[in-house]
Amino acid sequence: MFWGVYILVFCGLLYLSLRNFPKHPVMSILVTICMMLAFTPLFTKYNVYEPIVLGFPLWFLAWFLIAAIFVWIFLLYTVTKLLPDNKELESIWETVAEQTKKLE
Amino acid sequence: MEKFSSILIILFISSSSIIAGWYVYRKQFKSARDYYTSGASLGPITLTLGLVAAFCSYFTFFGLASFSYRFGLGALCLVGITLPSLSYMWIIFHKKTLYLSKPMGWMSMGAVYGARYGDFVRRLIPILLLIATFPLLCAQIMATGILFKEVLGLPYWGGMFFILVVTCIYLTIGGFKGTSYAHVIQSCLFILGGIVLFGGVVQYFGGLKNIFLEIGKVRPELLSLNGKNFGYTMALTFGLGGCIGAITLPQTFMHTFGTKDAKTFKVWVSGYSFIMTMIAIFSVITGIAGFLLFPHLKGTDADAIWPLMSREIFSPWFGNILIGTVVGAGISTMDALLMGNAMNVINDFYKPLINPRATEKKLIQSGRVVMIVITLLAVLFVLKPIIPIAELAQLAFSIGGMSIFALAGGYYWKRGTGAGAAASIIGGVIMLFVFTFLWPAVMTQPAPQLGGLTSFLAALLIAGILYVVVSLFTKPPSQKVLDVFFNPALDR
Repeated sequence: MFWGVYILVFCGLLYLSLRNFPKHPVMSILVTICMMLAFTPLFTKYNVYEPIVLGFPLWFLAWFLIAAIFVWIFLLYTVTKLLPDNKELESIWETVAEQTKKLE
Repeated sequence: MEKFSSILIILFISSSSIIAGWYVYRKQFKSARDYYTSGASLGPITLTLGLVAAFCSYFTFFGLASFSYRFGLGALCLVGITLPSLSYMWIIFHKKTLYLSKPMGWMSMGAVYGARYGDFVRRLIPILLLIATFPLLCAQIMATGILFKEVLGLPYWGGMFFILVVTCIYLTIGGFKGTSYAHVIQSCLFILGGIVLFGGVVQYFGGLKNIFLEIGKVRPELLSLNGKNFGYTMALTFGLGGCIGAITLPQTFMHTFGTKDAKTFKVWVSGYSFIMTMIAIFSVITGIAGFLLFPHLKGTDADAIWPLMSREIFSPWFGNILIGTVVGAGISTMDALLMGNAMNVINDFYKPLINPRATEKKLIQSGRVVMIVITLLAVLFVLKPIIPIAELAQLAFSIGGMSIFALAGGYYWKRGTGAGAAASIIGGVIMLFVFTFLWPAVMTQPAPQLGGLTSFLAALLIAGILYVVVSLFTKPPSQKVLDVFFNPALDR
């Protein structure tokens, strides 16, 4: 049952990502995988404390890299490259305002 | 003398927040939209720090430190590691909210759902949000009283009353803009407080590595992932529940409505998770290091580990200053919840149903009354501090999360209908209450009766099924509505 829900959540997030950024399917798939890993303690079997960097254990660093750093990289790529700038947003707002007036 | 330092910092937070509210008030509000959303005029720093303050609560500092004291580094995985995902999810769920809110003149959550699904769902949303956020509001008020009594040695009632009066003053006079300015001051102080304590802890033990090595010797399980405590189901419930709850709570909508331009949206959506992750890391490491100095705290006694550490690492009077800064995190969550609910009640209930001819001034005044009434009602519920705070927060996020299908489907599935949205929200919330309180009566633990799911995941699954099935069997939405929500210009 759990994995059924897990797969549904994965598909839902992937669908939304693809609907938002249809020209970037690879990015959408990768960022969805990383997000889902953030919700999954995959590293429970490495249940021994071994300090690696600054005393943090391996399982933590691996998880942090995948689920936080990678998602941040995709997030920064999205906000810098894929979202509209101020001018484009103004133009979207104007288009919607005009259409709303017409419909009224 | 020791208490005096914390009183001083709390007085500073209170007076500066009132000044921020008064600064906005004296410029006069042009309209109700100006009062409730700032008229989409706020910039990146105000909204980023404002959102951090709106979501940061006592749990972020005291609760998370206590959690990590008991369960170790895994606490960070459940809370901190999912925050970058929340930022990305904000973009994919709320991009259209940003595109549509300003031209559509939205100033409440019900307006968003109402424009897509009709009046019934518009009325349903404020009720859902009131049910979801009321326990959270009670928890923050109660935690303020407990902090004053247990940590600062001041009267439970006195401290709580003082903070509520201050919050109501700056909130009602300053509106969303004044509150956001107050949030900037509050968040700067509690972020600084968290950094200073973390820096002090690291220096006290001679470096971060030493903390982990010492803990590794005396209690290595704090640095390992215990499969029993951090099973897959629990991680998905906490991580997904936290993200979905944050997406559907009023704070997110308020900050999207208040966004001035595209750059502002980009900064707050990414800056939020970065700042919050850092705060979470600092709180978790402070809690883990606390075990080295205070190894005998049991159960909820561990909730005091953050204040205990601040007094142990620094002198008590300076430690009390740090503790005082965290009061800002509590009151900022309170005011955001009050503002969000007033915004919904006035614009989705009062104006369309009770007083359609209400003037702009009347809408603002009525909103002020609603905030004060909700505050007084919440006080009645916390006469005695007996409600478990962490569970209330989890429940609030779970209830809010039941509207996620209506939100996502409204923006991205043309076939989604008002009946489907209503069935999903009502059915999801009812099932959540049944699973949590009646059968099998579990909240965060997986239940065999639910196929190994937690009550939140099971209710979410039912809400999703109801949305799709009921939508497919009811009349599709009008082309007029679809033309707005699926305008090709929104695909940018």
